[in-house]
Amino acid sequence: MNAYIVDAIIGLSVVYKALDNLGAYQRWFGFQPNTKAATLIFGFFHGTGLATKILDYDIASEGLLPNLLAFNVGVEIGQIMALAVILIVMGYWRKSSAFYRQAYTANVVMMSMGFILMGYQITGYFVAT
Amino acid sequence: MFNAEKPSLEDLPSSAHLLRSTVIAGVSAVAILVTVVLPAEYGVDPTRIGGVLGLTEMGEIKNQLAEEAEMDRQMEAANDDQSSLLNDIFGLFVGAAHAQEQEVWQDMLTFTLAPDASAEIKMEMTDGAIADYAWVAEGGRINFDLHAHGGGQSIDYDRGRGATSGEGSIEAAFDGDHGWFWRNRDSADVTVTLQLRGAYGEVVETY
Repeated sequence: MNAYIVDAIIGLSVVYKALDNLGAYQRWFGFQPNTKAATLIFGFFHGTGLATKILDYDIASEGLLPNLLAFNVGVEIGQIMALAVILIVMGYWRKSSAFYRQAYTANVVMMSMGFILMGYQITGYFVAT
Repeated sequence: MFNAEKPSLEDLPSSAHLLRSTVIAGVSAVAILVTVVLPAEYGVDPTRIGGVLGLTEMGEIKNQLAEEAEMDRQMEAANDDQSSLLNDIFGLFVGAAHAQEQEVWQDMLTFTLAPDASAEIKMEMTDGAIADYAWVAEGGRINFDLHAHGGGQSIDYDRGRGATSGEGSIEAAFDGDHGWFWRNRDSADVTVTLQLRGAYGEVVETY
């Protein structure tokens, strides 16, 4: 699958999550999309995005399976470490009185970044291929 | 934020507020894309603001490097396919051009590249051999990549863009072809004069 399209969908997932955090789906459509389902579906695209990056490394076919397994274990350990820190910081942030105002702005900024990533990748699809 | 537990409807931001935020996010994204991201990544600069900020040149360099890497890859693949006989024939042509020698230099090569044209000049060297070089470009500026490959190994000694002269020496890191990939990215013909001396075998050139 084309790496630009995959990365554009990853940008879309950022926009999706920002709107989800802002409660836009509840306000606009009156229902909350299943977070687990959305995580799974977008997770497939994020995984595909990682896979296109590994392909760029031209890993030797010798010992491919151990290399792939090691890469994925590394990715998971990295994610758990990052999430542990993020969870602590978010816990404190939630308790601050300005949380809702700041989180609203943060999610709008995040949505904008998602749009930028989408535009960057969609343009790349047309310019670079 | 609002999706953790089911909030009551009046706790949610209003529809107009959400819509306004989305539009602000979208409009600022387009503005940043057009003025910063696209110039810096692809050299695409419809507003000319990227050029003023110096980002367009960054994108153009990225495009150029990607193209040259692709060219180099294709050229290496093509070189691997070529028989050594063909290289010997090229070697003969270069050998014939050896007539104009200078006192200190063993070989002097002159070639002219039209805009966008490229050339590959290689010295056959054995592991540890040392060769000195000096070159000048006339008529414009040139991009070069001084590298080597052979026996499945490859190494990059030096590379540059928009250069008009260079000199130095290389010590072969392994047996193989050591030399330059040249590309004229200027708008006019560029003539390169390359002088060589040291411990190398044949000089091979491919255009």
